[in-house]
Amino acid sequence: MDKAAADREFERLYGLTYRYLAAYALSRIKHLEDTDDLLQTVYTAFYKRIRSKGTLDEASARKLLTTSVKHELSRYYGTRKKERDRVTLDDGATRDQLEHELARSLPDFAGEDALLLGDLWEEIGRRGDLTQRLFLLHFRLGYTLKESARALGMTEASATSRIYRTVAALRRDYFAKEDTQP
Amino acid sequence: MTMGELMTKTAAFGSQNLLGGPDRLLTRVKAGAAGGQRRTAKLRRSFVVLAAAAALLGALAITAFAGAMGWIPFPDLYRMLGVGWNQMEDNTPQYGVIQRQLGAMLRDWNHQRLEHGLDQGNVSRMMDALAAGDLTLEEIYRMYGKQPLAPELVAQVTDRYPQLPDLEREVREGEARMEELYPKYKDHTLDAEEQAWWDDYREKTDAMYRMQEEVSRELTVLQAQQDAPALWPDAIPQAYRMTEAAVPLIADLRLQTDAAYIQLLVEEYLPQILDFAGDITVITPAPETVELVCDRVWSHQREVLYPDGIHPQGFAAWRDDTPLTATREEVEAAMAKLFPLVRVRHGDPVDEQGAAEALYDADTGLYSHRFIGTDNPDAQWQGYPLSITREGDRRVLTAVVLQMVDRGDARVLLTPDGTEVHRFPSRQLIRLTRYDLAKLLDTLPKWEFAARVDADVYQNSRGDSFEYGLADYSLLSVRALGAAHVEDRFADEDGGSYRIDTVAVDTDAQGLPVPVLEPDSVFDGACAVTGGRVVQGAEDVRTFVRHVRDRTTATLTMRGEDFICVLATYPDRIQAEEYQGEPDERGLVYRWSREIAEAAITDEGAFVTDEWGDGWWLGDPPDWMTQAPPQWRYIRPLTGITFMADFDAGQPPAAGQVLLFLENAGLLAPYTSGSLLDIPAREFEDLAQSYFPADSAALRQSFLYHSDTDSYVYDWGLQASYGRMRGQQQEYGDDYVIPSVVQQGDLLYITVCHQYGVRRYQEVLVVVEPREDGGCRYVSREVVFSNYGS
Repeated sequence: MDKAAADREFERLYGLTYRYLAAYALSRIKHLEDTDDLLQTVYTAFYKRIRSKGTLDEASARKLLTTSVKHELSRYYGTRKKERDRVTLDDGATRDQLEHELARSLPDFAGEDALLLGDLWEEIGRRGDLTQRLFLLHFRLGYTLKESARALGMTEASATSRIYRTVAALRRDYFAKEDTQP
Repeated sequence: MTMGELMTKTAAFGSQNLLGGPDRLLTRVKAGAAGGQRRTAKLRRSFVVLAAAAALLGALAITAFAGAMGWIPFPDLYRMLGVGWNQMEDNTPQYGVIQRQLGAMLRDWNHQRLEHGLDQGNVSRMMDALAAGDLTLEEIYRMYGKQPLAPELVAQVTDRYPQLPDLEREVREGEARMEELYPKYKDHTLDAEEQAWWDDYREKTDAMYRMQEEVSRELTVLQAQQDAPALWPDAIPQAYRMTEAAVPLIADLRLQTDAAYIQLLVEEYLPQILDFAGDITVITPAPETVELVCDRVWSHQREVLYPDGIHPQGFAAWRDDTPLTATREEVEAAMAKLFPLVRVRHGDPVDEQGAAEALYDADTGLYSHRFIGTDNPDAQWQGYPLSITREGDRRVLTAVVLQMVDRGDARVLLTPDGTEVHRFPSRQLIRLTRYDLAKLLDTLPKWEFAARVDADVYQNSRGDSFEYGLADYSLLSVRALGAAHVEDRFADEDGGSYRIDTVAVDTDAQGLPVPVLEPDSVFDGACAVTGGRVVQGAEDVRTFVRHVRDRTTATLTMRGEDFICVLATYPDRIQAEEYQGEPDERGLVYRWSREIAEAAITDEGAFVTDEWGDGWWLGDPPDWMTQAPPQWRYIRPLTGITFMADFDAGQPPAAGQVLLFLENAGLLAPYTSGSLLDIPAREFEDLAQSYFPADSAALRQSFLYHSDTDSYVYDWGLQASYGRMRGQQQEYGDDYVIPSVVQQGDLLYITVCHQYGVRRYQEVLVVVEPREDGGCRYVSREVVFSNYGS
């Protein structure tokens, strides 16, 4: 396949698969910071394959890429150990509380303060690897709570509760004096 | 903004080093594909910790320094310097670490003073005085007008790391056990419980170091915040002040040093990689006009310049303290030869510590000692070579060059023109993340150099023509790129060119590197070699060689004492991938990956993996290979017998060769004091003539002969002129064998064979006349066969 056509095809399939593949890798890789390297390796090989063997449909591409990620994880990058997570009963209340928490208003400049963002991220990191992955899936890649929980092998209630506890703590610690009522 | 939006921003901000986003990744993928990127081999970080642990163990023997340095007024200084408990107590290792860190801090302060137009302290002198007890840290602080951090401020920081003391205690308590287990770890004989303990301990150590770094960073920032230039004294006390002449000319020299460094890459490193010394063409030239100021002795990256012809012994001797004298014209000529674009300015002499040194004497126009250096004694050059690719008979090296300097509480990377491109969070954390590195590589200009390569053509046992010197070099991972220092990569301190590549590799259950070669193997053999013999898996070797001969695909893994080599044979080639040594503190190992000519079993029964490489005996080697004949005693003291020049009665041997022989034979001891040999000419010549067909007139032509004292003088400390060290004698079998000895009349004709591997060798015929006392007189030496040069 010529380069221009291969580029077009690759970008199309890349657009269709990136989010899924990133989440897949993110939720399984042993060390989070290796995610981009792994994805780069997998997609580079995929690109070369398109150049040499032509394109393929989305489902096949997704399957092939997923297999590649699995291979990379098992052979080179390692998979994370599943943590024992506390089982949280789903009483529905936590979800409401989380929604309420996330809807609280803050001053706009909070999002522009790099130091603050860094501190917040550090705080999230202190709450464990699983929490960090959860935040990435949910807030970075836009996965729903249910999807994020499934990707990480936990219940939706646990994921909801974990995010809620973290968000509530962050607000309490950093914005207690702000007017945070929605 | 809502809390939800803030969380989205936080996740995006916090993960930019983990997940660059779809656009960023797409760029990386395309660049990688266009650049022929292969898979990025993953580094298992356990190695990092392991290496740190090993370093800790290795360092435990060093004598303490801290106690003598008057730390007491600054109980928390070690926290600020980023060192831990183990660096602060008796019988612990950190003489070097603390001295380095403290020195770096003082040099920071010097830079700050320089920026405010104030004089600077002589760091070296201060450190010496500190170590000698003539100066306390308190006094140094006072000289610079600095305030030590108040205990409550320190506590504010350390209280935020409550786990640190516990971690340090646990690491310390586990130290003895780790030491005990270390040999087993090295031998891969830890049992499950020990392995678990080991892993846990390494995790703790890693966490401890991370926290120490964090604390250090925060304390440094705090100290900087409470620092007030208004409190700085106008002058450092004279005894510790850097003299006027010794203040570095920072602004003037940056650009020039860069040019020199670029040339260094071309002139010195590239030939080492490619193992050749041919013409070099700079494709992308250095800046159009640069100045090279020849006024600095010290150079971080070694002495760069070695103008042939100025010093009789060439470059090697310059690394010693051999005095050098050269006129300014000679220096200019040499500079012009090596640096065509460089204009030489003869400047003020300054050495590493800032002490005035008579390098260039403006009155006489003469240089003495060594010269050339860097603009900033604190700068470290970081070269990031990207690739070396083949273009016809040329190799093109692409590299990014940066310099690293300390600034305030951080360490920064500067482009050659001095622009700051990256700031590390602290002086202790100086590894580029892959994200940072990729960002830099995208934006920085890259330098390209080309080198012409002469290939050595050889026909192997399969009948293939094989060209040496044409193996491709490429970096396998961005991670390795970030971690590797150009000097580590290109320069081997032992003088060889063997350490070619630094790669991050995956490891197997035993922590050994897992090779990347993976042919669709029909045969996957393994063998162990030690002491020049295949001690296990000889049958696998034979099977593999059959595959080589039949041109079918197969692999053979060879495990030696300090290397792992995987051979893979394909229908059209044989590939070798060798990992040397153990992973360093960055978890990297050296890898040599190349196409090789041979994998065969010789008629004598040796398995040969490369024409130039080693051979391993599959069974017992022939006796003549291992058992020295009695005549070996005549050859043994002749250091470098196969490399010395031919001699006979009409062509007497050189004084240097005679000198080495006499030294090895123990005949020069009465004339040697320390490392200095001084022997009256007559006595030296008598000795020489009793062993060689030596001629006094010829001997006196050597630089060893000093007519003013009528003696032969040599400083064994130099060791520059001769390959082997003083007193070293070759051992039979390793390199040298004697395949035959023939007696004719009173003379013995001894054939000495020096060999590389099994197929490359040189035969030298030495004729000796034995004497009754068991010694001999050497009549002649002649090379009768050599295929080294083919």
